[in-house]
Amino acid sequence: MNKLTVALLTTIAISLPQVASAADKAGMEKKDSYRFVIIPKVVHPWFDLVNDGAKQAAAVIEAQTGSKVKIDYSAPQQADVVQQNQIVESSISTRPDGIAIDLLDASGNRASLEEAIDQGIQVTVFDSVPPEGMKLTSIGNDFCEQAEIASHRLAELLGEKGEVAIMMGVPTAPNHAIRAECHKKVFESYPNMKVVATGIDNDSIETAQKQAAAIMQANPNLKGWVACDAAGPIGIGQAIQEAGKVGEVKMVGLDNLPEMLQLIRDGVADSSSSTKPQMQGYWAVMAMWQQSIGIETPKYLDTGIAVLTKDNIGE
Amino acid sequence: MAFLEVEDLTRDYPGVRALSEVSLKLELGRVHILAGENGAGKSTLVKLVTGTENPSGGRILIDGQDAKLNPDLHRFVAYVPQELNLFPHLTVSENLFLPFSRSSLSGRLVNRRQMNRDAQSYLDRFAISAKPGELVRDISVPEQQLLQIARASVNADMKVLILDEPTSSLTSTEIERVLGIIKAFRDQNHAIVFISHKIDEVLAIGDDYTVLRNGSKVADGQIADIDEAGLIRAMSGEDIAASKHFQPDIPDEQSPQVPILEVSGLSGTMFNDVSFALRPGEILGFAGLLGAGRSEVMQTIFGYLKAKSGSVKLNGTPIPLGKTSQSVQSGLLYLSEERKLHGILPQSSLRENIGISILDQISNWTGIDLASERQKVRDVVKAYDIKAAGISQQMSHLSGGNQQKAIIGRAMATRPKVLIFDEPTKGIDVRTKTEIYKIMKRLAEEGVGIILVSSEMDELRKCSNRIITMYSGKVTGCFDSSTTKNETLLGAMFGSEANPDAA
Amino acid sequence: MQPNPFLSVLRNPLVGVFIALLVIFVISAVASPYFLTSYNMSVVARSLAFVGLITIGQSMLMMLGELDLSLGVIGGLCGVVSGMLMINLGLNPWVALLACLLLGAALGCFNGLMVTVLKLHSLVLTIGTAGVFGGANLVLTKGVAITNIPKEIQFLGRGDLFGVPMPFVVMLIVLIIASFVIMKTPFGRYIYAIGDNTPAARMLGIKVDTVRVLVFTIAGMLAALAGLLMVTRLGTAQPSIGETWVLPPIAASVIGGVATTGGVGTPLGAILGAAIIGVIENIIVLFGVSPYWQGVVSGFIVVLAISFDSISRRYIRGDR
Repeated sequence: MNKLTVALLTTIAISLPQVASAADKAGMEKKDSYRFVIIPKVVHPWFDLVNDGAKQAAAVIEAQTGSKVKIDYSAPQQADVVQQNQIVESSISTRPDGIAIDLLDASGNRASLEEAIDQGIQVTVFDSVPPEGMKLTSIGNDFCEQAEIASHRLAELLGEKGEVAIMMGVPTAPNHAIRAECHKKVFESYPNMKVVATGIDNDSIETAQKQAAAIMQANPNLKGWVACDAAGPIGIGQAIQEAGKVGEVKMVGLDNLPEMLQLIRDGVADSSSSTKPQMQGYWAVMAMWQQSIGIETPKYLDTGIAVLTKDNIGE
Repeated sequence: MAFLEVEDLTRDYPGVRALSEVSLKLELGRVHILAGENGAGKSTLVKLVTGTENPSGGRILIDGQDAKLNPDLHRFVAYVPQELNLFPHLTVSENLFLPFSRSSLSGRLVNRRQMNRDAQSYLDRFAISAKPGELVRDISVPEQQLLQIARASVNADMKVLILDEPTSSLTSTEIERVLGIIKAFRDQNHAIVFISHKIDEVLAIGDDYTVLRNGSKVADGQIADIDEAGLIRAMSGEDIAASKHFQPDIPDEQSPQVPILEVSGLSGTMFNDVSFALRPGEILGFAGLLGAGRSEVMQTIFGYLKAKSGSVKLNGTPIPLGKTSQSVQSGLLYLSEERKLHGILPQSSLRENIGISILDQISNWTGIDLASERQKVRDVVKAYDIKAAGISQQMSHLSGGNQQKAIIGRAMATRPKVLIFDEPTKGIDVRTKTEIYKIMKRLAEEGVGIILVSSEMDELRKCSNRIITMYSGKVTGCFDSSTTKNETLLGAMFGSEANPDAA
Repeated sequence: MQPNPFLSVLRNPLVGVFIALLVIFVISAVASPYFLTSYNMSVVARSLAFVGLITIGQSMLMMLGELDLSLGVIGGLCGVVSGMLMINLGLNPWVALLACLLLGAALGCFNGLMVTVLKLHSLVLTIGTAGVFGGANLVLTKGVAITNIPKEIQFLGRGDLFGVPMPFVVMLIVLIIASFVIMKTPFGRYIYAIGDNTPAARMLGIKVDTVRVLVFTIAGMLAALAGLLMVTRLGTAQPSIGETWVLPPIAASVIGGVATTGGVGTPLGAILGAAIIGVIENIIVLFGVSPYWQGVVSGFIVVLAISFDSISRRYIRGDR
């Protein structure tokens, strides 16, 4: 092993907390360059939008301060905690100024995150909840609120009655589970509405399409759909179109992938209750930047929910 | 002028020179005999001439052009290998015409009916009784061997036909048919290369000959100028008395002994109610046609195939049937006719191939003692005169005869009580044959029970004290080999009810 | 004839893989200053450990001419069962680990028995049993991870021994034992013999079926071991453990010189193959390769590595 490198690393590791503790000097030192790592759950178009926001933030910092900012975007090929941890650990090796991660599973990621902190690397969490007891800044929206907006809107569309179905995402993903739970609670609050089926799409458009088609076959009286991830509504939309039930079966989607927007334009989906991935990416970088110059960042940054309809998404 | 000419051809393998500066001329309209012991370099020469391997030195001229510069020339050469290499799950006609581009059936789609019609004319010519649409796995072994020859001749460009032991699994009538086919090709102005260990066939059909020994050419000339003894001398480099006897001498007066192996009422796939006894000190021969059920009987005794009923006693104690591990443990060993399929571990080394059966002798709590394994294997290699580049040579690189000797040596290293040889000299040269006969004789005299299954009447008569004949799954007789006439034996092999005389 | 010692070293099939690994190592070290840091090495070693345990089992099966596609899910299932035993039933963690090792062995043994007794094709059978075991995992957990694995066993996944990550130490010990069994015991020789020529092995009186069932059992147990170490590493029993442990061990074994048809190869070679894959996964992140290009880049390096081995075999060893 390279002794010099080890010595160097140790020096950095020891000196970093000292810089942070010198609160009076916080934010006063200028660095010429920063490198931040963004680790999404999996290779997925939603995260490309996050990456776009992150790059925008980098450009903004560069324009305002003149310091170079580099964003490294490293996605697991499969939505697997083990693989994501490997990426976190390999990223730690490259000594970045900060890591922003969308946790696949807070408890399963915990060991790797702790390792990053031990190695003196700042960690910010986006689109997910940090592991219990770890004081990390998290950026995101209220998943329950996002789901509630969608299911209330569907109830309104259906006149507060009829059979509906929920497409759950990845059963092991906490944010998907939260959304599913909140959808259920909303529908329970309407006495004339009934959840007749739940599908699992594992965040895959193809699976969502197959599941939705089968569920609609089995439940001819089904009137409406909500989903718990970004892939779900796109698959449901395709299934509705294929079954010739556009208009007959209503859907309120989730998030703002291009296909989702197209479904709204085509009238297959009424609307979408969307997170703001670009904003999450933007503020994740901003938070990491602030942390790396020694500024304390808030515990939680809420990026809010947008309701996308034909009227506000443009052509 | 010779159609195919080989000049100073050399081929090196890691650590071995398999072929050394061999020259040879093949002329159209003549049958050229390629003779030599196992491992003499015949197969290597064939591989180079057919273009499956490239020479390390020398050159091959086909139709006057260098084959190295124009590999396409190899299409003039058709080759029928010794081992069956047909596609068992395809039909007879598909096997005949694959690859389709080579035959006149080329085109995008395969017209099955047209193909079967074309196939029938080939089948008629080779007197193959199988239907074009039958699957190859369902037709008999001799028919498969004939089909292989027919397949080679489908090649429209064929000028040279190489046949490697084409008669090894055939009975005498089928052999006549093959020799007839060869003559027909010769008369149609093809050059034939004929490789066989059966001296009588060679002398009957050959025009020219080339003898290889240890990778070099040691003799060539015209068959008319040489006789059996001369050919054997050229191949082996020494005189071998062709008609020696190898029956073990049975110690007389001790006849009412317990048999080493006693089989009673054994039935299984392809055979019924087989009973016999193997006496101490004798070699017991089994004669019969292909498919008479001899191998099946032996494999069932050994436990490789399942028995339907009956029992087997070894030295008076019954052994459980259906478990090879039990048989091996009690000292009953079977050496299969199918060396490649049932005998060797092709990708493993010679050391591992022999070592595998003596592992319990050479391992202790620290595992296998590699040094003592090497020593024991070297002893076997020496005792059975196995020729190899070293004990780490890969088994599949050894010649057939040396593989066979290694298998026998391996079996002997376990000190068995009974050894069953199934066609032990199939595809093996004259000298090695004699060595194997000597080994069998020695073992029998040392008290090991020997059963010899063979299709060669000559071999059975030379080696065994008694011969049991089988016909379609039944024992048809038991004969004293020194006092029984050939006709009696043949009659029993062909199913005529003979009186089990003088057993 | 005495072979040239230098040539005979080069003829060892492990040499090609080793050189390929070395080349990738050197290139990585030159191209990235982070690659050879002790921290990064321990990252690579630890991730190699888990896949490595599966690879050892899978390579032994492949040497036998068999394949078990359910090893990954066996690891996952044993992991979550251990979590349930420890947390939901409050069993002593060590007892739970042992029980789950035995569970893995039993599941592997089940595969082996089905293959030998019913004469099923192992590839097809284990696709089926992978579905069953994976399904059982979801039935038990409903897809939710089991948290709060006791601290006293977490050192198995997180700790280190003289700076070497614990899982890697475990994997090394298993590798040494496996190599000893394969090269120095009759059992190992029987594996090669059966993989090389099953009918011949039966003719030799080797208890073919017993050996096959045993190897399936060992592979199942090693899969369980990998799953359990992963549980102690994560501190939670994740239902998704093992999902990515199916193809890489097979690829690693082939890269390391184990034939899918059986009879050749060593667990050491397979581990070297796994190391090649592991290093590639690591440097792809170190170099910041775009996730969309990762498949292309890692696939290309694997193809290069095996071509290198094949070419060296042809020219140095003189095979064809």
